[in-house]
Amino acid sequence: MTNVASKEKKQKRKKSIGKSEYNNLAGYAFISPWLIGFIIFTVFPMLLALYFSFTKYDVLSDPKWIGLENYKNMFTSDDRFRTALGVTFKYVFTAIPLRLAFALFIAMLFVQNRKLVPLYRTVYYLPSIIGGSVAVAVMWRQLFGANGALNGVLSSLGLLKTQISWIGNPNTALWTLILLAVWQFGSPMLIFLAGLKQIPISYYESASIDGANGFHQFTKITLPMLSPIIFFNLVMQIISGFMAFTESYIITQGGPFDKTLFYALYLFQQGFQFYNMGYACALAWVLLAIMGIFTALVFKSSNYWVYSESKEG
Amino acid sequence: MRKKLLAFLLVTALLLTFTLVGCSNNSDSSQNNDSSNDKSTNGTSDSSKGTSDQKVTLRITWWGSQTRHDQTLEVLKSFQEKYPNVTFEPEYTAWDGYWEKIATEAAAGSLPDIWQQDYQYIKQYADKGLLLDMKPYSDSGKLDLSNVDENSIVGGMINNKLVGINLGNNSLCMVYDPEIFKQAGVSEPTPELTWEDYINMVKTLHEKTGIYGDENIPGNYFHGFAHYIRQHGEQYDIYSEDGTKLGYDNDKWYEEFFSMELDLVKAGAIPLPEVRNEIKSVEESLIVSKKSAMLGATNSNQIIAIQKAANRPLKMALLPKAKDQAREGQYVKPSMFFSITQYTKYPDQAIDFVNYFINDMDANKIMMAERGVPISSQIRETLKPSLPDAQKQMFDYMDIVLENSSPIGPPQPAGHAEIDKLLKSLEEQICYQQITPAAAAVKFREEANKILSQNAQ
Repeated sequence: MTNVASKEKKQKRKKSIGKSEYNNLAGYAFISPWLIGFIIFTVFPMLLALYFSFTKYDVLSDPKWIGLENYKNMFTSDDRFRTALGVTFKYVFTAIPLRLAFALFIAMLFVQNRKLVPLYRTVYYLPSIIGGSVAVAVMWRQLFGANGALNGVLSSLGLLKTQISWIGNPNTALWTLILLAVWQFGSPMLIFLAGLKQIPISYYESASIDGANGFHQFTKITLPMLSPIIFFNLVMQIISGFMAFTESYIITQGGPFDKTLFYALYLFQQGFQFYNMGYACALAWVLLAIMGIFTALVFKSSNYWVYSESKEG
Repeated sequence: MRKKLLAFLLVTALLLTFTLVGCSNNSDSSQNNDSSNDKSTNGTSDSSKGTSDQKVTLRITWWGSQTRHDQTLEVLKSFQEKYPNVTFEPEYTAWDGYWEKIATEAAAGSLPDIWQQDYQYIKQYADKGLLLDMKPYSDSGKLDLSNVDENSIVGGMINNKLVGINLGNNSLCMVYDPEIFKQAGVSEPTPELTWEDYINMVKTLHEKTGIYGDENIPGNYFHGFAHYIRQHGEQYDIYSEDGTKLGYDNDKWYEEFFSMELDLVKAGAIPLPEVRNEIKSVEESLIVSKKSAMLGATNSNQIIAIQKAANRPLKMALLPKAKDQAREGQYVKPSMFFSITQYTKYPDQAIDFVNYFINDMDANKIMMAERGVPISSQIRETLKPSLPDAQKQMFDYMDIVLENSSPIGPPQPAGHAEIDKLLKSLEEQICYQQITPAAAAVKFREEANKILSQNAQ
């Protein structure tokens, strides 16, 4: 039976190469709803934005071609562009490592199958579902404002003499946003959890027989085995970090004096508040380039620290 | 296995990135079709200027508080009773986000037929030819401005076209709590109050009561500064007449004005920007919760909302005068306008509505001067006896302003939004002593002129 079947298969394959083409077509047909959406709502706008980035476009009248002028202004004479870059880098390179470390820490706690762990998993994931939403941003304002909950607690403990606004003070504003980012650790946590579950328990068992303590097990087994997952999370989070917008738009509006001016917020201001849409498009493409560079760097560096079983073998 | 998982995750990540980047750019895409759309709507507009019994749907947009939304919706209803063929698609929001929405609609060629307009933005939209000239309609009497004085009309005249109808007059004002003044033993401000008097008054209020003397410097960073510059002479304002550069040449005035503010902040008589920035609505303002004796920067029509929130007697005062001032800094301002979009399909019905809004007694009885003192003298006179106290106070205040004011300057030029942000940022840096007022003055001139010249090109 099997012989006959395989023979038939072979014959069929010989008969028509068109069969595989047909299969491909079917595949494209299945993903076409997404593909069409992708082309219309992503590729097309991106290319259009590329065109606008070479124009002076005030939204109210037709764009005028000005060549590389926008890019030249950005790199030579725009102080706020530099400020926004600085703030965004500071945010990405503090908030993202902290968030990942915290996510890993929580995931390690949840990897054991204790009672109530499923409940805690859900609860800890909640902040990420309501994620970058306006509601959370508004809540943050209530917590860290001058009349916020934090000040209430601190002053009732007698630790605070004058009330300060944590979100409005130039020294603390960015840190409250970083704290918000760290608090939203749910999705990297879930991915870490999936990764942790894939590490065979036998590794730990044999390690503990050989006398390795918890710290050794963590650095010699968990981290290397988890490195592909860490790599994935790092790439994802860096990208989302660069695109952070809602937090500063709702909570601080980029203030006080641009101390929390995220790149995406600056882009929004230029495009929709100052009506410099051409310039905003140029900013968008520069952001894409920056994210591309950082993603590429992380990929390059992965050769040195991401452990892959197949390579080892 | 692990590798496969990784590959899968990375592909997903890549796709997600594209989608997300796409999302941030989507907003652009909605604006791509701009001119083509404009033209097509323009083309059809002539053919469909219909007769009065034709079924018509008008889109109308405004910003405001919940009170305004409720009142305006009711006016729409009462208009429909008289013009049953007209239906409305109202869209209303808060001030935050309003202009972003309008800009997007303008780019997409789908501006509402009638929309609320502001003095800061009217010039930009008029310059691009997006607003209908209502002059022919007022000449023909379809839009009845016979009871409106010239001063209440000119604000809406841009390039000799009537592109906005003033919905009410207001003026900057300071609101204060007479009870707190009494407790502190400070005499209430008179129209002759000078900046020196003001500084002393606020400091004394703070020292005697412990609460803030004022919530912000009179008029706040932008309008207060403009007020101060205007007092130095006829030819001075923040912007030049043509809006291509700054309209004053003496950086000393900048230094003086913001030094006053710094002085008050240092004394603790007015709060740091971080406290002020958290106030998002009238209800949250410090005077309402008795944390401040005054609210130095608000528009006179806001007294109604403030009075309602505070629920105790508050009074209004003019902004301080300069000693030996060359002219009055105070001016009467159109609180807001209705503009009609150039390419509306139903200009006749839109004009009917605007006419109803400013001239009809029923409509004005519903609104109770919430958008400022009505421009029609007839409406003013009929309305006044039946007004609640807060509104009466506003009417009286506007009479005082008329005696102590000079004509309004030209509307803000393109680039104003960016300059406003610049001025605010510098003001905050001054308050936190990151920059001296003198250095900020130079930086403001440099950056603002750059923004203005870029926008003028």
